[in-house]
Amino acid sequence: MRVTPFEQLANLDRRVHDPARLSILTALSACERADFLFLQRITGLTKGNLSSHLSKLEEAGLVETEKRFVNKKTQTLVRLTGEGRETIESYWREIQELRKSATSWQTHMSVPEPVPG
Amino acid sequence: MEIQDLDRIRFVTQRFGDLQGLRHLVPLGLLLLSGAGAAWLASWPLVLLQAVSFSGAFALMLGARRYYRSTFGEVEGSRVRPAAQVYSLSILSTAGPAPQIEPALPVSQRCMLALALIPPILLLFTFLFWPPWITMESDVIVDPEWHNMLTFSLLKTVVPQMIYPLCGSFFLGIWWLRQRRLSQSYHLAMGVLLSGLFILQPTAAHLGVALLVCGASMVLAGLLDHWQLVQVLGRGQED
Repeated sequence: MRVTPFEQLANLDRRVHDPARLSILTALSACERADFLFLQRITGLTKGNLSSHLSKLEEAGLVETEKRFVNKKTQTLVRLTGEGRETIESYWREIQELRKSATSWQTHMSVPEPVPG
Repeated sequence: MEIQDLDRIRFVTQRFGDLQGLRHLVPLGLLLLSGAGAAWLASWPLVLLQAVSFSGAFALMLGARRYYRSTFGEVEGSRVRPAAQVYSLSILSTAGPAPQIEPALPVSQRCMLALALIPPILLLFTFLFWPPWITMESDVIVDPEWHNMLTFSLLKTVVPQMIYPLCGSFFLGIWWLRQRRLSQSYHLAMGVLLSGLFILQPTAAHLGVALLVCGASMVLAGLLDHWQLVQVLGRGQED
């Protein structure tokens, strides 16, 4: 049975399908590691918000955090795990499929039904 | 969250080091400006300018790194190969295919590569674009045997003309490597202008002028890079 775009949308990975987490994962996918301050600046999130999203992503196994001391201050470094990289790639593939599916669905719905008789 | 926002996030993260204009292009431009001052050692105010530019360049190189780290954070980079960018029209491009990530060359190796390329590029321009209107003192060269022409006065005329296309190529290279983005078009404009200045009347091809123009261009480009970074990263939200 053909899956509708709406069902595909509902099946998107909710760990990724969130504006804040998507921007965090997009930034991390473009580098090896980034520190907390950079992620806060690039995403525009507050410290509390960013910490919360990073915790969720770490619980889901998508990111890893590492703390180190630089000039007597704690620096938190974040990187994508292997699963995290696969997940974000898979997410974009699904979005691509969803886009095609939505376009063909729209075409299908715009064809007028034949008049009986 | 727009797709363009994600694309911008990705670009700035990939190019975070390159966009730190106060660390790279501005000091390099100041060094060229100090060289321009050296070409005109007739008056002491220019000597003072030379000294200030030279020391300012080194101070900036040392201090800017700390500034960027404490203000905008740190990124330990890897880049997606240019081949990954073929999907620019696709929604997939905003994240980029991760398996094509390769480690970027360290800065020291990139500098060595750039320095190694300068002599062959200079030679190439010299032989390909040997301007027939070069003058030695006030005489027009008509002798086709070039090896008789290698005098100091000739070099004084040729070298400044070569600086323009060299600098122009540098900017065009940056524009190309930064994915030919619209936001980077100032590098394209400077590259085209400086390369075009190669076709100059010899009397205008003074070494000091060439270094001044190229140095000022680099300082401007570096400030624009820095401004871009500040626009995107801005001020973080406070709790």
